[in-house]
Amino acid sequence: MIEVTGLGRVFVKKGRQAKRAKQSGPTAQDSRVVALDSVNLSVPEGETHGVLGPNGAGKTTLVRILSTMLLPTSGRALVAGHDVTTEADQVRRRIGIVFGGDNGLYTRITARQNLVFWATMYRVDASVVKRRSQELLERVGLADRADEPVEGFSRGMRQRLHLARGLIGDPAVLFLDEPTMGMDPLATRDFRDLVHELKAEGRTILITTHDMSEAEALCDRVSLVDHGSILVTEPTATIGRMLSGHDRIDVTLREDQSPLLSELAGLPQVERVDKLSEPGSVRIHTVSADANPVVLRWLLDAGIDALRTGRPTLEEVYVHLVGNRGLTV
Amino acid sequence: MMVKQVIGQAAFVGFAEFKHVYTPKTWLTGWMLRLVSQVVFFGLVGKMAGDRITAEYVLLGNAVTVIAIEATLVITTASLERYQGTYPMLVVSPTNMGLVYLGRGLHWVLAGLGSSALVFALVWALFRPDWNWRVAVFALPCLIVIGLGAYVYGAILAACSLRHYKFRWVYLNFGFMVLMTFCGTNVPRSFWPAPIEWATQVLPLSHGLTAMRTLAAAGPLSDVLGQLGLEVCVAALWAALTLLFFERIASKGRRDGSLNFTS
Repeated sequence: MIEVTGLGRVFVKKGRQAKRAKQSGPTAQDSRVVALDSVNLSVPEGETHGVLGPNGAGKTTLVRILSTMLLPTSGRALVAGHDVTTEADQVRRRIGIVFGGDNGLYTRITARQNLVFWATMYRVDASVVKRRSQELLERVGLADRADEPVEGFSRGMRQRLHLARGLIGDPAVLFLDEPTMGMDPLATRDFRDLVHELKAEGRTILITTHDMSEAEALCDRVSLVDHGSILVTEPTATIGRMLSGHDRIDVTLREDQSPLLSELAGLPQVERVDKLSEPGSVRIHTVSADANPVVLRWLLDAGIDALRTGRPTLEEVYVHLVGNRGLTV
Repeated sequence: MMVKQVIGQAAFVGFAEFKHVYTPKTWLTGWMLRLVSQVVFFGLVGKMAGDRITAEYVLLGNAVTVIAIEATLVITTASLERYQGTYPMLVVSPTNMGLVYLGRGLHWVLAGLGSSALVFALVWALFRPDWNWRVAVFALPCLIVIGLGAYVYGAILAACSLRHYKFRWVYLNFGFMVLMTFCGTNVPRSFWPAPIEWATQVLPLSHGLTAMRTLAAAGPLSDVLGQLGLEVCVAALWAALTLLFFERIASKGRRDGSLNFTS
């Protein structure tokens, strides 16, 4: 449903920005910024695909190109079988766009009037506009507030209306750009439930997010993006294998059990032991999956029963691949 | 059919927003006072500089120009579009944004019609001009045509202001100053050098104002209708340009990356 081949986008700095770049000297950054660099991606029909990456990685640039808001400077992208550069109008009829934040709605008119407006813009047949608007308002839980001006809506309500607006044209492909940004946990949970429903309907969804738990909860596959390139594309369920092919064992030691740590690290089945951020907690990396039962038996015999096993999480893979940059962008 | 719906929906949003632009008090004590002051000022200048005919010429010109000024305020609607982040969403919808803008700011034409009519009434009451009675009867259709022409002209400037957001007020002031200066508001178009006079033929207001002056001077109705017909043609030309301009602005935005989800 989405086919991206060698997609690239270079921005050229202009005016003061370009002057500043030139003054910085020949070795400093030039006036070109590579936002996307030869990106290849294939998202089959019905898949929910997550695009993850730090700020400035190129996630939004990718969505802007796929949603026909931005032209690529190289490569090709097809959405629902149509080229985003040469067949933008065909693409626009088949996609819905939802982005996070307060913007993008007419706040002086009601939720229902917003949907009718956007239905008209998406050339929805006049005979179905009313019915579809009502259905969507019910679906996103805004039916009771449908005839109130949007200016009085909370961020969560606005976001649900954004989703309804994105669906008004009954799109085959839905782009969600950080859709839960700034939403409270309950609103986020409701929003994710709605996305699950859309996924069950077989729609193709491309979602960009910083939120690892969101990606794990919603996405069939994820792509990690950094510096304009896709680092890896893997199924969400198995991406942890990139760091370890088998479960690791996390244990929490009481103070009196601390001396056991060196003995534990010396076991032939243990590859290494890493300290975790919680006091007394360590992560045991075994040499193989077969070694796990042996180590678990040893731990229980030693009286260590605060333990759990698990594969590396998406967040760990992300930190491993992207690197822990702290607040650096 | 879809064209009608798009323009209708866009106009609906505009009218909903307009309710929040003024209260009756701010409209009367702010906007109307400003317009009346402008018309009276030029009227008095005309009276001091010339004779009664000159004063009436200036008063008529300024009273009619009010609707042209107000119609170009569609530029402020475009600014609002950008501020609330609906601009990029319109660009990536399957509908030409130019078509949307043929309706999006129509409330300014209606507001201008009200302002212009009120200014006319005040001018008539205060200055007692020697205008033919037909002005009172035919002013409304003439003003509507002039307002629509100025509106589509303003819509093009609105498209430009979407691209050069920092200069939105420059576009607005430049837009109506051009009309006020060259289209016969205070001085006849023949006052200007021939190339400028020729250029005013394709500017809104020029022919509509001539039609109004012909009415005021009890000129032949056929001349009035002829000038109004030309004003309609000019409006159609600017409307076509509006459609092209918005397409072009959207294409440029896609190319240089100036369109964003939050812009």
